[in-house]
Formats: sequence, structure tokens, C-alpha cells
Amino acid sequence: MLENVADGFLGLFMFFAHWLSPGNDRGEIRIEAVRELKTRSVLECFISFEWNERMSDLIDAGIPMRFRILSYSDRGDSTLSIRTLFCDVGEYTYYISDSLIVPAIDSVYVSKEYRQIYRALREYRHVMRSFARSASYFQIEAVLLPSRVSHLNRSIDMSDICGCRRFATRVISKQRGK
Amino acid sequence: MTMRLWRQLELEWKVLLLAAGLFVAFAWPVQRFVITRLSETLFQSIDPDLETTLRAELADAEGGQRGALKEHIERYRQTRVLMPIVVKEQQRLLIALSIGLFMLFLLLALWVLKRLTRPLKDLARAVDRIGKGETAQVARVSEGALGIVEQAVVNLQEELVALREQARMQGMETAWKDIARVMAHEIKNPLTPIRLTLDRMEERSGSGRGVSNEDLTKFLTRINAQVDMLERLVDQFRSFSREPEVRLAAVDCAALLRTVADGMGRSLTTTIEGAATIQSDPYLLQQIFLNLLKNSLDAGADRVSAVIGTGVGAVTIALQDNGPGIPPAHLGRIWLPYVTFMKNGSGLGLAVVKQLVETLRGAVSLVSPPGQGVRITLTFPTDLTGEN
Repeated sequence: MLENVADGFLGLFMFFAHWLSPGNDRGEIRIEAVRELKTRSVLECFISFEWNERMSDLIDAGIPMRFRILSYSDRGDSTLSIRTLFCDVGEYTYYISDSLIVPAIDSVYVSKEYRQIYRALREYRHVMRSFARSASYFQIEAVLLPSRVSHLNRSIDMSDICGCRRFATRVISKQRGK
Repeated sequence: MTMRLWRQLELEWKVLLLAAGLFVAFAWPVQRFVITRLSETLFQSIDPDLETTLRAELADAEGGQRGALKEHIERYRQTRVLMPIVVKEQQRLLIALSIGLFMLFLLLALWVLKRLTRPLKDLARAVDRIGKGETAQVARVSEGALGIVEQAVVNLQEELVALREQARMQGMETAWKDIARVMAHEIKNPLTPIRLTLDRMEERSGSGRGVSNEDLTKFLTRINAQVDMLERLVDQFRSFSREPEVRLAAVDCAALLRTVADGMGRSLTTTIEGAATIQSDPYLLQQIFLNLLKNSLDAGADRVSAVIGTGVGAVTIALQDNGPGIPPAHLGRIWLPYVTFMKNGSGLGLAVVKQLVETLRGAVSLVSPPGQGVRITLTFPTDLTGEN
């Protein structure tokens, strides 16, 4: 019960934060942290793109938002996944799924359910990837894919609404202080 | 500025511009109106309370019915949220289609108008050629108003050809009359003294007084002089009527001019400055100089100064006399044959000069400032062989 109330407050707070934040019609992948482990580095980044009422309406109508996320380094750390944000219209709940295509085919991860879209969105935008410490660079790319509108037998390109389609960033060894 | 540009535009472009203006002025608002009406109608067709009703049923539903209701709600929401996007898509499609069709129409219209106006442009070109005195190929090939215009142009050309032929014949007739008049006058001049001399000889012989040797010599000299004049007159006509033969040789212009000037006697003093040798015909050059100096003498001049100058590939000979000059009103006609403004002129002197100068690939010009006599400038190529 208390957890639901906390979620509600957090969702309301994030709604206002989105409402007040200046519009950004150019997307980017923002690097939040690079953590160095024994043999690997872990990259935490954030896919930033414009969010508006129309995007919310599309998700709320059961139309999924899909990003294809590709990451690779010069040491062969390649990962390709499809990240989806979708809504169960009947229950008013949001889910995030990660379908890992490379290297483990058909490995699907589904997140916990969210009652607030902004909470789900925060999780959705947060991407974490690891790569070999010896890599001289590591690149991560995200491409917004067309979404299927199941009941109208057609697809829709959300990039027309959010104003961008492809985001990419590269981490090179100097940035990591090597 | 805009109006001037508009007037300069071809008819077909004017029509196309008007069509484009009408398209923007009417088609654009019309499509916006249609799309707005369509959008309103589509939105009104969606029941705004449908989701509330479905959700009320979902709360009590179980199992398969619950799944079906969820799908209904999803379909309802997807329809509602996609409606404006679909309308926008259709609007873009409609605009693209309209612009495409309009461009197609423009190209088609341009092609049709070009075809339609081609006969008119051909006619305009034909009329322009006819106006310049050339022969244009015009025929009536169209029907209707265009055919009438074509026929009118055909008639116009035929009439103009007839008029030109008539004018040419009249001109020839006039020219022949002029030639006959001048010849009659020129021939009659020496004939009169010959007749008088012969009459006098006949009278003396008839009266028994006889003709002394001294008188006979005097009479024969007089008749010879008149016969010489007649021969010179005939030579002038002959040199004008046929293309002279050119025989090239090195010509010292100053020396040739001096020889001709000396032949004029004491009545004309000629001074010569400069010198030049050119490859040309000495006989034709002599005729040119002779005609010009005689012309000055006949006009009443007693002094001619000649200046010979050399340029790049050309020699210039300027002759300035101290005669009365030529009135400005006559300057435009002095080169025409049989046109003379002197009392005893034949009207052939300057015409012959012009013809001979052109035969030698040269140029001649004449100026006559009031009170300063006549200045004639002759220009010849230094080497007629190379020039040719």
C-alpha cells in the first residue's frame, strides 16, 4: 500500500519535472558513469529524447515503443538488444522488456510493472553495458524502431513525434583515465 | 517593372502562371477545408463514453470476456490516438498528390500551349521576314480564325511581292529614262559644235570661197576634240556598266597621283605629302584619281592637297580641295549613278570611283563641312593579293 503511494508521489513529481523541463528535440545518449571492475568496465548511460503528451497517448493506447540498442568495442564486446516499453491498457501498468539478440539469442528480460509512465520511462532510458577494460573505445548506438499498431494493422514511426531516430556515443580510453 | 516583365512573357507562360496562381489561391484553402471537415467528422464518430462503459464492464468481467474487453479498450484507444496522425498523413498525401497532378497538368498545358501557339509564332516570324523584304514560306494550313490569319498573311505577301515587282519595274524604267536623258544631253553637247563646224565648212564650200588649209586644220581640230569627248563619254559609260578587270602591280601612289595631276594642266594645283607603294591595279587607280581631280576641277576648285598615310595593312589617301563643297542635303545621294549637282556633270564620276574602289577592296568616304571644300578619303589594302 505504502509502496503504491510512494510510486504515485514519485510519478507526479516526475510528471511536473517533465512538464517544466525545456523541450529538447535532439536526442542523445548521455554517459552517466563508467565503473571500472577487475577486468571489465561498466558503462551506465541515459537515452535522452523529447517526451510529450502525444508519446504518452501512444504508449497508453498499447502501442509499444521500441529501441534497438547496439554496443561494441574494439575487443569484440558486441551486444544487440531490442528494448521495448509497453502498456497493459486494461490494467494501466507499464512494462519494459529487453530482448537480447546478440550474443544470446532469444534471451528476454521483462521488468517489474510500473503504475506511472514516468517511472517506467526513467528505467527504460537507463542502459547499462559492460566491456573489456583493455578496449580502446566502446560505442553504443540506439535507434528508435517503428511500432506496430496491433488493432489497426499498421505501424507508426514515433521518431516523427519525438523528433529524432538515432542516437550514438563513443567512449574512448582517454575519457576513462587510462 | 513587374508589368514590363509580364508583357515580355510568352502567352503560354502567362496562362501557366495564372493557373498556378489560381491553384494556390483556391486549391490550397479548399483542401484545408476538406481535411478539417473530415477530421471533425471522424472525431465525432468516436463515442467519447465508450472507454468508460468498457471499463465498467471490465471490472465485473472474468476470464476470456476480460481479455476481449481489454482488446476493445486497446482498439478504441489506438483508433483515437492514431486518428490525427492518419489525418495528417492523408493530408500530406493529398498535398503531394495535388502538387504532383498540378505539375503534370502544367507540363501537359505547356506542351499543348506550345503546340497551339506554334503556328502563331511561325506566322510572326514569317511576317517579320516579309517585313525585311525576304521571302517567307507561308501557307494556309489551319482552320478557323488561325486559318483566316494565315490566309491574310499569304495575301499580304503576294501583294507585297507584286508591289515590289511593280516598284522595281518603275525604278528600272526611271533609270533607263535617266540614262537616256543624260546620254542624249552628253552626246548632244559635242554634236552641236561638230554640226556647226560642218555647216560652216559646207557653207564655205557652197559659196565657192573654199576652205583654206589653215581653216581646215582648225575645223578638223575642233571636230577631233569633240570626237575625243564623245569617246571619253563612251569609255565612262562602259567602265560603269561592267566589272573592271584587275591587273596587279606595284604602284607608287604619290608618283601616280603626280602624273594624273600634271595631266590636269595649270588649272588645278596639286600638292602631295607622304608616299606609299601598294600592290594594286595602276590603271584603275589612275582612273580613280583622274575622276576625283576632274570632279574637283569641274566643281570650281583650283587647288587640291593630297596626304598619303600608311597604317597596318592599309594605305590612306586623303584629298582636300578648295571648291564650294557639297550641301549637306545632297551628301546622301552623291554616290548614286546619274545623280549630279553640277551644271555639266554626267552623274557618273563619283559612282565610277565608288565602284572602282570597291573592286580594289578599298573604301571611300566623303565629308564636306560648310565652307571648307570637299575631303575625300580613300583606303586601300597594301597588298591586294594577300587581302584577297
